[in-house]
Amino acid sequence: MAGDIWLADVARALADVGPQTDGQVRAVTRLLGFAAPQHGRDPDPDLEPRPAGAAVGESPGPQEQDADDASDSGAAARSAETTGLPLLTPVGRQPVSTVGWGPRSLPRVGVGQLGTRPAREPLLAPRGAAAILLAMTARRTAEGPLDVPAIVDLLARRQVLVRLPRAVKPTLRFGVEILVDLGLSMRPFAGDQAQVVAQVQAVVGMQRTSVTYFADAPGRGAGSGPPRGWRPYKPPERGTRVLVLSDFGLGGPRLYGQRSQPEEWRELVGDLRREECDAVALLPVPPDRWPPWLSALLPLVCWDRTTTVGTISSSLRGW
Amino acid sequence: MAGHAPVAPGAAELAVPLSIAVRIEPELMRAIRLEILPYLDVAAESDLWFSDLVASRGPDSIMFRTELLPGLRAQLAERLARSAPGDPIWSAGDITAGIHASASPALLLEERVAWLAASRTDDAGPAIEDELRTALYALQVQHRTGLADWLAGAWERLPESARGTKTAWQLRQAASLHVDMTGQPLGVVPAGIGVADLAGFTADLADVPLGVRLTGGELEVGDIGTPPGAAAVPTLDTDPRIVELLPGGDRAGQTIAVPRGDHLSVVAGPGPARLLTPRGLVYEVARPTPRTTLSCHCEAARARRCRRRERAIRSMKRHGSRSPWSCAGAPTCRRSTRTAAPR
Repeated sequence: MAGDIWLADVARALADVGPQTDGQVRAVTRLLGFAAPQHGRDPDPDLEPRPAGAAVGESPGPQEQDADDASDSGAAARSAETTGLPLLTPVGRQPVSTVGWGPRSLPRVGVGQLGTRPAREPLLAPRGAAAILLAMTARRTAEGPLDVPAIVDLLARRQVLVRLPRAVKPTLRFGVEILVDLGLSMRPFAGDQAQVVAQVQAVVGMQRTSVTYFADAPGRGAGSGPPRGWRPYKPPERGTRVLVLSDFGLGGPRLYGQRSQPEEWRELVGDLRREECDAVALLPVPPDRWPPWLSALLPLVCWDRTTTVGTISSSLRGW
Repeated sequence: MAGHAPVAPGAAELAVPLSIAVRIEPELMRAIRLEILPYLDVAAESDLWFSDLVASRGPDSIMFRTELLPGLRAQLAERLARSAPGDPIWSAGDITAGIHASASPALLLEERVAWLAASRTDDAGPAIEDELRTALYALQVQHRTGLADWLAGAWERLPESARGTKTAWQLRQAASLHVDMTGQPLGVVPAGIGVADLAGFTADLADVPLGVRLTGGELEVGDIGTPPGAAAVPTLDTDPRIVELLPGGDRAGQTIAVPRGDHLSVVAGPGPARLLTPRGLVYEVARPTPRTTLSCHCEAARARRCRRRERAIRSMKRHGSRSPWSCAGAPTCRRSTRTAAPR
């Protein structure tokens, strides 16, 4: 017996409800203050029938136990609500029309759907990217056809032609080294760096392109493989064009202890010049944020849609 | 943003259309900047990536701080409201969906809901419910319980207008069967929710007793303590607890939603109040009477009561009055609860 409810009442309720599953039987019996042991479990002395007031609040049935596991605070609230209150007995039933779950489901994850990187719009305008990178990586040498106007000018001044002037012509035969900054501040642009490396390799050729990675400043260690194999940076072969993909410490979080310092870049550019390696930088920072020390150090090109071949020419003029 | 460094203007502007996205990859940031805000320079991307708007910053993506999302989305809604239909800002939803085409369907759903809430401020409710119902179906019918984990993380990120829908509330109840949702603030209890919305959970949710007491024409419901006349009605373990006060007399029916651990009073009028629970059971809450109940569970108690009756009858006979009782000896029904007249 559970309070005012007897086993006969349980039988009546079960006959009225007509439960189809064990779960429904348990629900009915629990509702009436009787906790039924679950199949496959040893009878738990704590789940013996008790008076209605205590049965629900103090000894939860199996399903209530599960709910308790999922919600500790719910259990706290439950105990507050149930303290010593007698459980009312239902006086009737009224059908409740169930609101359906809807006609369609959320799609499942497709095979190969996850892990696919979305396509990235390049920072440089797609139509001009190849020309821009060619202009940046080509070394200008006086190896073109004879510069006839210059020859005529010299002869008109009655000067001796010690060396035949030739037209300046961009060439890629010295090769290109790309210095890729993998530091924290360049993380949002890692995909752009990979794009530029691939484009340069397509323009210059795989054989003449070398890629060297570093973090924040090349002098701290650089290499073509994983960071643990990096060594202090050494300039490439004489005459190689060096393309630096870095923000030169201008970006990144406000408090960033690994930020590169101007002295480190000055030292790098000095080393490159000693080897007659011209360096040019492509940086994802607008010109109005370039500090004077950096503008004076090497030719800079803003890595953004506003850059055109024309702006490259003006950037490289005078270097 | 109190207590944080000011965000660069370009980054703050870029954050507005990005606020519907759960995860923000550089690809999404780039697409939004170039197609919607082409006048911003590349520094806006870097500034946003490293700004204090960001709660988590991974190698491939960032996530905005949850508490800032309502403000950013309000700015987006405002900008959409004052933009012509052809304005690029209206493509933010499509751009985000396109970039995230390979993302998890649940994340896509969350982003669609956020976009609907921002772009259709007046009539977003039904569309949001349609979206959320697909997740409810997957969780309840297909038992894809991973969605419960998603909802536990997404609940605070969802727009308030979405959290306030009935389907979102049902989804929350369904998820709470698998994960702990108590840490997620419920916020607004959706209007119009009733026992019918919970009927589908009766097989899954346990019952908890809900305190009830009818006093002075008011029905107290919830965590009411143990005052005289209080009783409990078993109802589903949801937050809030839901029961329906059935119509009776001049009183119209109404749904009563009591937040877990809280209580409230509703006007029930005179007479007993009948409560319908999501299981379809009707309980009657009567006004407490000032009578004392005596239970007869033992022979000694019955004998004492019979002796008192005998004395009362003899006393009344002596004074010439008729007995209100016809003493038929000891009660035969062991269950019976007899009431004694007030002394």
